Amino acid sequence: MSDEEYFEQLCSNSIDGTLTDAERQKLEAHLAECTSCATLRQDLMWMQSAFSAEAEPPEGLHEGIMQRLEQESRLRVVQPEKPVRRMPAITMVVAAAVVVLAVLGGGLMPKFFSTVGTGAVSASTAEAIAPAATDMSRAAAGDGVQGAGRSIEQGDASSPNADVASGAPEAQQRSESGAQEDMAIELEPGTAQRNASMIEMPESMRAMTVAHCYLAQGGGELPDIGGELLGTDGDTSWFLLENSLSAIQDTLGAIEQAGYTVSVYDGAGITIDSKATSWMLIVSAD
Amino acid sequence: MDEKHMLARARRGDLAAFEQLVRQNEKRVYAVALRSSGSPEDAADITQEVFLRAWRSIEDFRGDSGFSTWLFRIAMNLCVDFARHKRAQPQFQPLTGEDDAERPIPDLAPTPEERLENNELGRELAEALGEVSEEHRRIVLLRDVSGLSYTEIAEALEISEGTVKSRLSRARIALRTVLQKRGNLLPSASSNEGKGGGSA
Repeated sequence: MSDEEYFEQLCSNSIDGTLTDAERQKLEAHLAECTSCATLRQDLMWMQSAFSAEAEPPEGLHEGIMQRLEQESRLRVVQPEKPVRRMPAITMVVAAAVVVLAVLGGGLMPKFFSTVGTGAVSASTAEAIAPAATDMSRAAAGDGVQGAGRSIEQGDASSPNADVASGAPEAQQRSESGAQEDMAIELEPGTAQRNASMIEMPESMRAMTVAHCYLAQGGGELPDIGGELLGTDGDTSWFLLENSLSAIQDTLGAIEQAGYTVSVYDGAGITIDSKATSWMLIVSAD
Repeated sequence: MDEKHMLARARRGDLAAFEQLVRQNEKRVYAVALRSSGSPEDAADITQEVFLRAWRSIEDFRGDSGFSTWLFRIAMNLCVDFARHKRAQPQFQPLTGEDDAERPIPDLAPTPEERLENNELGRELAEALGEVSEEHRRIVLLRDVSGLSYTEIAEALEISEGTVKSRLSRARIALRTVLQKRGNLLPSASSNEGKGGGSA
């Protein structure tokens, strides 16, 4: 760095007040002799003053920013995780029929095998197999949510295939993905509506881990929940509360008293870890 | 509520917490946008866009630098993009057709804010900034308009503090040269002095 550049930099630093004592003394001695640098320093001071002059924002700037952010927040509420894609009903029926035939085996196999093999399943054959296949599907669906108090809708009890599905103990212990989405499952009276899949978990909450997640649905005036309001979208609000058994009991009790129906949220988009320090409450007003 | 707490809540999607961060920084972001664009309307648009982008990517902000440093980095990029876009647009051509008389005359009366900000000095500063290099423009905006410290500028531009000092000095001198050429705004203009720097 030349002397010229050195003193230019000192002039620049001096208007920011970042000179050391030694640098300041050196610059002052130089400025006393060098009018060019003295003028430079004067100009730099004026420039900084001009650039840093208060620029009063226009009225409504803050409101404009917040309006756009609120719009963006609403857009950020995305659909829940894409559910496991289910095969078309007819494909499921045919697939189930193949399984049934394989189980039945015996004298029927040669006759049906040749038909299925050509891909030309007759309408009468499909109709004959369909009830049994549906029952199998329902039985499997019921297995997937065992313990949730659901009853499995029985199909044609006389069908040998229904017996296979509902009577086999090992089948009841299986858990199959997508079972919770089977709308054929009937809920026991008094069980909270399990339409958590209808609640869209905002993207901003998807990375969160909570100990529990409950869904309160209904109407009435919402009692004081406490905790932290994470966000709202239309009639749905998300709260984060400290994880303690008494707090959960008190909060859920108060909400039920206010006319809400509480259920465990089992929708997609949130990680449940019993060790987490918070729990989430989703309130969905009717 | 301190900034760390507000950031933590904003990362979880708490817009009210983010609003506090907006309040703390909107004036300075607007000032940067105004000095860079020279237009109050463009500055307001840029400011909105800065906070929108910050909100969209707040989850990615790791806190390695201060929030305002991160925010001004976004602002810098947007100002530079805006200036490039503006330069790329065709210049306005005066209307000279015969049917000019039939054209509606736009209301060019400035609003009070425009009158205040869109003055000669504001335009001169913005235009002078447009004539220096991108590197110089960024550092002048970060220091003299945003008021960031050398350390914050070093973080924002990912350069050393020593480089901040030397680059800032060169940028100011380059800007001074532009201002000298453009007119008689500077104090030195009246005394007809103001060569590049010290004679040492």
